[in-house]
Amino acid sequence: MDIDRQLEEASARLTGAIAKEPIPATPSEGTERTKRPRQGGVLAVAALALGIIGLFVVVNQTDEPQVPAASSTTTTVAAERVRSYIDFNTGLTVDYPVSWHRGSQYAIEPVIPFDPSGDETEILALGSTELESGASQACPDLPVAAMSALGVDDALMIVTADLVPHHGTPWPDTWSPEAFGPEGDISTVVQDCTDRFDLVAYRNRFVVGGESGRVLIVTTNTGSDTTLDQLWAALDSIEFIPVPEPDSVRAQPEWTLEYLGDWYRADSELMPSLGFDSVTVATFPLVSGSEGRCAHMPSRALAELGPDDTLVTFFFNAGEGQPWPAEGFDDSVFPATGRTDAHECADRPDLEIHWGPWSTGSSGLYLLVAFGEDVDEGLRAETWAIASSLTPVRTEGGACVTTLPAEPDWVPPDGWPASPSDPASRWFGTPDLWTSLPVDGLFVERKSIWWSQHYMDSGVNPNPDINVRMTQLDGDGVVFSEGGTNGTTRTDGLFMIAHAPLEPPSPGCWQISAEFEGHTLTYVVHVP
Amino acid sequence: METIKTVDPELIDLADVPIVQGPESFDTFYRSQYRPVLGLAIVLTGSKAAAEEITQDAFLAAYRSWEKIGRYEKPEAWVRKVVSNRSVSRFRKTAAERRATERHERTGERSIDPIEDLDADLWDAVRDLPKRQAQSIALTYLLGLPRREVADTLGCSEETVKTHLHRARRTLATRLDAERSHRGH
Repeated sequence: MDIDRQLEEASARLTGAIAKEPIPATPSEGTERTKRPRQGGVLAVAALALGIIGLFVVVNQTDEPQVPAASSTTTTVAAERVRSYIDFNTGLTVDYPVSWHRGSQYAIEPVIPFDPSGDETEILALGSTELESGASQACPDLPVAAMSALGVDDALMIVTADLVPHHGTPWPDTWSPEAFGPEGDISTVVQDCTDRFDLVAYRNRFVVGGESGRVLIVTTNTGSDTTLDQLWAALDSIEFIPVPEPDSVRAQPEWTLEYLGDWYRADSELMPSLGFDSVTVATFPLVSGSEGRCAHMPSRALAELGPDDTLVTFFFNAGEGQPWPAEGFDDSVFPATGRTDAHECADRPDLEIHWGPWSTGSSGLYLLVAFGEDVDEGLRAETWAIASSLTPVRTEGGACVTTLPAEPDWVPPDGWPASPSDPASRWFGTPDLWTSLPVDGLFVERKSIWWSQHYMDSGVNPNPDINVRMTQLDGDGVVFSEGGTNGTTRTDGLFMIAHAPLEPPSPGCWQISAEFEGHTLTYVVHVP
Repeated sequence: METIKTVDPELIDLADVPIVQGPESFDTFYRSQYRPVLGLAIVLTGSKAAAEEITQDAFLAAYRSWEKIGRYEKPEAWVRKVVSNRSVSRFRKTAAERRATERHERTGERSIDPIEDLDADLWDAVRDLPKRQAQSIALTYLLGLPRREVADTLGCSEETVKTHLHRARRTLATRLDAERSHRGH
């Protein structure tokens, strides 16, 4: 039987079967989709409502593949292997071929932040080849270096978000050159900027969910259908999904934990006989139960763990353990353990268990991470990011959970002093990005100063691409600073200075996040 | 063609959308279109439960913006487009499946439906096609849409649809033949 007839007959059978299906009640104003129950006052806020001023998840989202990025996952769709990326700030999701390259945020269009009229920020840069960073004075809002480096069968796309929403075309369901509108063909401009007369480019501003941004695509007129298909498919796959706002729990006097709002959380009630505090977060509803010789394990919860579920438990036993990993947890830092009590107590030999003691010097805990057998790379990365988000803190200013420097003091790489010149501050961060924090968690107005081992020569780059957001956690205040300059002192070495000073406009609890070359550093201060 | 701002029901502020009757009442529209749209979602997702979730989401979105969508020449084309895109979206599909599973857990409904077994090999092969090809097959064969309407739904030209269908049929024939040969051995 030919395929045409098979399809027709199968369609007829399916239509006949569906004709017997009852039609559910008409959707009405009272209709509520089934929502996953939430616990503990967890909030879920559509990230689009936050737009690009949404909260940073306190993980580095831009590290590339060897270490699973917090927002990257690899999967298989049809016969084509694709990688999926989620931008937690905007809720943008995209599927793109594994052979393509995603640029670090802000890396491809470095001139845009300095463009006086530029009020947009890059949220996605994809190319069939590696994307080079760099623009030109003549074409400050175009990724000239990346475009110039395109091969004869390459393509790239860049999505930016406007800081202040503009008018634009509604985000199309499907993409084609026509979707960019009659003014969208900017091939001539791109050709002039690159001296590449084989380039074809489209750009326009689009609106989705009350937010706006621009989409730029660049291809060559010698490109293959395959590359073009991949480009359009990647664009078609873009969606803006509601991303749960990262929630935070005061796990202990010494700790806070950030986790995504649609995870489930249980505190010490999960293991009532444990004898010390614990916090557990998981992708499934948590059932209390741990008795007898298994009092130290969330046995019932582990028994309920499904094949695509994960669970993270922190046991605050104040013991000693391995040094807390500065770059966070992953499979290499914290490999799976062999047979453990977790397997025995839950009677689940199939679980992948990571179990062991960790310490920051002054505080210690046991960490349990459990994976079902079908957990994909995206959820695995998300789980490690949540495990890594546990942060030493202390309370100041009422409910504001501020960030304090680690003890013992964190020491920067060689070339920088072991402690900052301000005796009331300590270094805080990683070699990739650090700053000085007040030892008491109370805020002091000052310049927005940041250090990085990737910023060692102000002559090469006098204007570092340092971006800083100040987000009021107990209010609506947001301050965003893009770009910066540099400074150096004999006592503090070379540093970057963000354009906007650290001056939150109102008292309260403020989260300060800096981003430089794909590395993020976040902390919380109380502004009296 | 008039377009609306977003297809995401969670991003439409209900308070800003006065519900009025269009040329066709939403109720009539819903009753006439629910089953074909559900079929489309079943073919593209392979899961009746997820298809029901996606279909309900799409109709709910249409309901909330019925003042606008109800005035379209073919409001069903809008719903088809929404369902067609969401059904091939891994994120949407996963979310719908999760919700369906939770609903089944609460209600005790079974989660596997005989509809999913109907010509399962064929529809599995369709779902293994590139997304656009699978959508073209489902819209053409299951819904019996002319090429022009398939093109409108997918936002491409009729020629592109023709190409998608040609490639899809060729791939399906090869795969199904190979499977039959494999089973024959």
